[in-house]
Amino acid sequence: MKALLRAQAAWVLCLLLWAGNAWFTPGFTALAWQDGRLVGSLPDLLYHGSTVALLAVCCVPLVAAAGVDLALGALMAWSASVLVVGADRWGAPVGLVLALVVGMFAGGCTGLAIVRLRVSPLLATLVGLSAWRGAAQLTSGGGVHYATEPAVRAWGLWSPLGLPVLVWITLVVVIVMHLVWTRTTLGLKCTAWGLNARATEWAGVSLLPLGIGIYALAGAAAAVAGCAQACELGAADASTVGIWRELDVLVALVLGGASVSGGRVSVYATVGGALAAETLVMTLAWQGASTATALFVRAAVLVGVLAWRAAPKGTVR
Amino acid sequence: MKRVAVGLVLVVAVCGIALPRYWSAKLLPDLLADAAVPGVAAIGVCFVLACGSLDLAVGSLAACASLVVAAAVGAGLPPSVALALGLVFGAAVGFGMGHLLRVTRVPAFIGTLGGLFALRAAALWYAEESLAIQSPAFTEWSAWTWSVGDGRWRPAALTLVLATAVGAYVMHAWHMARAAWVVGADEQAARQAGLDPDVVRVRMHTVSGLCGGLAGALLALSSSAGTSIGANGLELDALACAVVGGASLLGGRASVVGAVLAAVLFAALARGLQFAGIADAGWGRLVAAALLFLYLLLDRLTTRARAGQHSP
Repeated sequence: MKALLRAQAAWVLCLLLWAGNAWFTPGFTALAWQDGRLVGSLPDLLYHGSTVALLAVCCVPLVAAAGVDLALGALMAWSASVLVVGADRWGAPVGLVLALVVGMFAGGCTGLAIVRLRVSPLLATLVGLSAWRGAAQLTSGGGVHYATEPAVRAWGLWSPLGLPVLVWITLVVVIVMHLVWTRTTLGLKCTAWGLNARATEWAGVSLLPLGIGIYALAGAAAAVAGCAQACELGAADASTVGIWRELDVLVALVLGGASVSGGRVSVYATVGGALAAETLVMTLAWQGASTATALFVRAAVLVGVLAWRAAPKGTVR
Repeated sequence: MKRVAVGLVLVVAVCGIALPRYWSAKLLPDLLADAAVPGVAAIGVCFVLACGSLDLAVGSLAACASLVVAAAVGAGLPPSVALALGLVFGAAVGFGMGHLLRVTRVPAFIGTLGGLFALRAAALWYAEESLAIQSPAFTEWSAWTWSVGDGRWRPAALTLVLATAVGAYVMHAWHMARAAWVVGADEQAARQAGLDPDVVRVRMHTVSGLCGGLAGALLALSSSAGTSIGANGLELDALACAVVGGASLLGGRASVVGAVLAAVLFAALARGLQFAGIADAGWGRLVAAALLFLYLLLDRLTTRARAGQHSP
């Protein structure tokens, strides 16, 4: 029973939050159909939760490899700017492809620096945090850049079966990642790297392509999330897109039971963690709490969960 | 430290040759004033890096401290007391955070990342954007300058020089700072030698908090306001300065003078960009990141990875 509860903790928390909301938040379960789109609190939650879930799930391999990515939000901003500016200049499809390439390129560079230069992931992604945000400001010429290409806005409104397309993308990515993580050797290799990098290298796993690949995956996820946000708003704001997203992702991973020092993480639980984290944030918003309060609560949850988990054993360092 | 000094001389020389009016009697005091906030924060970061810990909350802490100064002046306290309160606040928060890390056993980067967000939230609760200081006495303090020839030394520049001297002395003379080097290099060995790593780490976080508080006081002094959104990314600047100055994220290696020289190097570069007519925030961020990357590359090429430094 205890083991079952531990494995499902994130989902249990998520369901508890939903039950609490159904009880306390008026209109939480209300659904309506408007302009070919399902509207209401739950679809909202699903949409915002899927951004976090997409990012967190694509961070699973690098977290297993004892890495961390603090540059996700900045990379979202850069790819959003690239999409909007590229769509204006060469058309929306080219803009989208460019944004994805930028995301993967930036992530790949991070991975290269981590494996080849032996920079700690923390420092490498902190450098990225500054560099990508700067690149975003240069791309969009500073400030907000509005999309003039109608296709960009049309993608933002596109909702197959009533749900935004990002939700479906996330669903597919989650299923594929779960299968890849549990059925192929990727999970084994990343986890081994997180537990002992040198031993993994000596066991014949080549860390360079693996490192570039897993950081490029996180970069691609950030690009998709950034593009989705740009399409939704029909504009890219280089200084606010993706701000504090890396905190959401960390909270999602930690709620999903991941160890931040590597070696233990699950795709399934991370999705629950992402939904729980986003539900928590939106619950606070519905209860009228300020953004500062939401920020504080997330930080407290992050530290609190890790502290609670570290307490009985004494050493997670 | 030698490397960063060479880099600084190179940057100043190249900028001086390429850009007219870059070299002047104003250059040194202005560079020191520009480098004051990140430089002072970097001194504190050197102490935490030495003991193998991290502090990502310096930026938010500085913002909070500047609000404390603004609030204290608003309550009618004299400027000296208000600025001192900012420092005390910083040290207290640093101590609290170090103690929290000690008790909860959360990895330092997560714990202080939590501190980053929590302190920023606290600052936003207190003031929406900023809290202006309207006190004649305080304005007098912030407008004070000491003219030497053409150069005008502002309080921030003098504080940086003083803080560097004190920091460098404390790093070598204080037994706790020396213990921090041992703890950072090898915690097990430190324990065997009778040192308590937990106590050392709490002390070093207190020092870092004190420096963050000083950075906040300088922010309040230079802008005559407490800010709740300012000093964003200061933790990265401070960390970058400390690393370029010769500190290792793995602990056991840090240089106060090197970190401050690195802060002056970044300031010299930013001033060069400004003189070249590129005062864009985007370029500033990119160039700083590229410089840090270049440093890491050089570091990797010139020093062989030591055993045990095999960080993934």
